[in-house]
Amino acid sequence: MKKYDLGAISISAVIGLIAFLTSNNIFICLGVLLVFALYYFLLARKKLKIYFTKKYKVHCCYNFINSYLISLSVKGSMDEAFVSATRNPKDSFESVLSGISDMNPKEKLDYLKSYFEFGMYKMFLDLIELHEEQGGNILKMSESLINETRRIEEAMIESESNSIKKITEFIILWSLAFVVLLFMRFALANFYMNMLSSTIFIILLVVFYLIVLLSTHLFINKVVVLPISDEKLNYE
Amino acid sequence: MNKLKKSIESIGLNFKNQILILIILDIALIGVGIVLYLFINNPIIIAFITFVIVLVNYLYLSRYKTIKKTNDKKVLFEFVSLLPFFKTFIENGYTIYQSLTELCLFTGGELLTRLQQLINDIDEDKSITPFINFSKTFNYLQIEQLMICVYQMIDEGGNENHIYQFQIIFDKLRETTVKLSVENKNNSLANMSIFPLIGSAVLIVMITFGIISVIGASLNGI
Repeated sequence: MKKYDLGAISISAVIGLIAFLTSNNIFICLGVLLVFALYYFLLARKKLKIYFTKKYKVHCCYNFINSYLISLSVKGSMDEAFVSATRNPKDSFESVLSGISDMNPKEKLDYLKSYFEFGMYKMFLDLIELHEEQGGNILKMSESLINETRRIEEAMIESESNSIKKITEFIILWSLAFVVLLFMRFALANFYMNMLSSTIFIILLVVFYLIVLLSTHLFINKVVVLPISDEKLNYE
Repeated sequence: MNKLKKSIESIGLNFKNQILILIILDIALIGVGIVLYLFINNPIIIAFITFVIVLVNYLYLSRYKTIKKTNDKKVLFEFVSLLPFFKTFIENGYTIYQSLTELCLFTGGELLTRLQQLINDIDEDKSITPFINFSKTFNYLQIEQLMICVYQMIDEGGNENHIYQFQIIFDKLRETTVKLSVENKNNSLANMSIFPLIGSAVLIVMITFGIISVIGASLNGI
């Protein structure tokens, strides 16, 4: 999150600076800077952190389930399947795995339930249990689950790439609005200073920054929605 | 008023609380209006605050239908997202009743209540009625077809044709809902482009006011 924190501080500072240049008022500048920084650290940061963690876990869970089932089908051993499914782990998953290295394969799978809090992982555990009891072809037994994880993964990838496009579009549109404001400030410097003497002008300027904040808040709220059912993420 | 009360209560909110919040919001806006008027002493502020109050009231009172629609859609998507699990249970030898009971472990909230109601109804009534009643709560034709198919699977003992029929309806339904949920997110993000436009509109109003006030000041100077 450090790079996001730095990014948020930089954006708040830039908006604060623009607020100073356009209002010529240090209080408005500090107010805008403070409100944007507080918004990020008190509200947006937590939402973004949860979103990135969930997103990472969904991808990780998809890879784990697929690799595990295929390896189990080929090698027939739960231990080897687990090793194949956890090859090259990253970030938080790596630290979880290092903590359970002494457990037996079944215990490891059960333990991961607290990490992958998804319905699809619980279904996967049920299937493994059923396979242990009844035997049979694991790939055939888990056909629906594999299809479902594939659907979720595809939906996630499509949604992520679209989100990036929309974020770019959103930033460009707001940047253009700021460019217009700055253009007015510098190209019509004397005239702009005269306009600043009007209280309504100042109020509308503050309203403009409030709209920027409101739209950022709504935009973040929309971006952090995963295209899969939220209840499935908290099934217990 | 009764209609509004019903729509508020249908989404699990308290009517009195909602009205109280709206009144507090209105009083706060009126307070801001009075302070601004005393500070600026310009009649435009009264018109502006009146417009804001009307807009806020309209938006606040018209959101219940949207909330209900969103909740219904959420429950529908959640149910469809449970169907792969249902299908997996069926494919692995569980009975329909066992599969429905197992599904309850994967969900919560409104859908859990509906599923438990379905299971209770099946206990009491072995006809197709509980399945139809359950599907009607979604108001979605494909769910009705799917539930009829599920009933036929019970009634005719897992006939291969019914399982195949279930598979076709399920695949179509699941693909549609996954596509819809991605589209919903895309559309909601696309709608956000309106805000920079609103920002630009505020800039235009700002410039207009600025120009008018500068011209006004210079005319007064003459």
